[in-house]
Amino acid sequence: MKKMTVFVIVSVLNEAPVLRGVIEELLAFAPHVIVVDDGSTDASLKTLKGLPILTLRHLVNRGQGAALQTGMACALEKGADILVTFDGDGQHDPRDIEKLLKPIESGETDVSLGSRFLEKAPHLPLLRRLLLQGGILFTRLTTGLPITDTHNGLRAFSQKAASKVRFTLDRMAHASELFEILQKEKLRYREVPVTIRYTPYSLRKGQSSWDLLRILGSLLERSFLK
Amino acid sequence: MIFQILVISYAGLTILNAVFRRQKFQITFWFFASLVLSHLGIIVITLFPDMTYPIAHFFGIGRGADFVLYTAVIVMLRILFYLYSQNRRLEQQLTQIVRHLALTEKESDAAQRS
Repeated sequence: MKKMTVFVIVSVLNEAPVLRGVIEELLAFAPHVIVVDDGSTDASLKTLKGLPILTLRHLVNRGQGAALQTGMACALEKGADILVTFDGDGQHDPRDIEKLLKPIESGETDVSLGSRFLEKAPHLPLLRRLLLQGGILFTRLTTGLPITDTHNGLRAFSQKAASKVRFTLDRMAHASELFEILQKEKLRYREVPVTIRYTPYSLRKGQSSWDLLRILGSLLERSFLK
Repeated sequence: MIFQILVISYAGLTILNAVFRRQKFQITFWFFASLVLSHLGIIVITLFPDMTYPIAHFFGIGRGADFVLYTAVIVMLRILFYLYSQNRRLEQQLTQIVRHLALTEKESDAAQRS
């Protein structure tokens, strides 16, 4: 059987302090890495000099959803069979990628979704846990899908699935929009347990309560305007 | 009386401003026409508020001033919604342009080093 070509897409916004370490660790598990710099104002891209990766740059910040869509378009153009999305702040463990790939490689599913709640998430701060649970409840109510983790950036898409994903919400709300796309395009999905590394850096960079309110606003706005 | 003077002055200045901007082709004809007509309407209603009574009465609203207020709120909300939709459309178009540029200017590390 032909070995599938896997591209990992990393969206980046001002991650200079950790980015090189994240990508170096990632390269040990995935040879094809596309970094999309979403208009960083720090030296994020410069820290990657010398690494065998492909870099794309948004001239102005357009949001994580837009950055991932750009990276996915590039990966599809490069002939990717499977596309993995991965956060640039070091909160994901590259060893989990293998677990995401398996159900797609075996043809069981079109999309693998990382979930931190399928297993115990012992280091998750209480406030973050409550906010995420609120998001999960909202997504379950609006989509009817029994999802256990809505805002986990570690996901894998088959080529067929990736070509059907068109985020219209450019910012963080794309994560919730994805579930609507899964339903609309009748894509099969499976949740896979993954580990999230909560470091002081990733917690500082992660979504705040305001971000979650903004996500809710974007989803409501789209409901009215679409 | 003070309110009438203020409103009429404001509307008059807006019309003058629209005329100057139109002369320099800074605004389209239709935008100019709608600015002038709406502000002329404001002046007329301010000078002759009794004119709105029959219309208000027709719609079952007691006072002409209330009719003007309700209409203004509805029109404002409609304009706000329209501008919001337009802004969203522009945001999406901007994303498409930024994406297009990113994809056409993509560089591999090999290119960066050369």
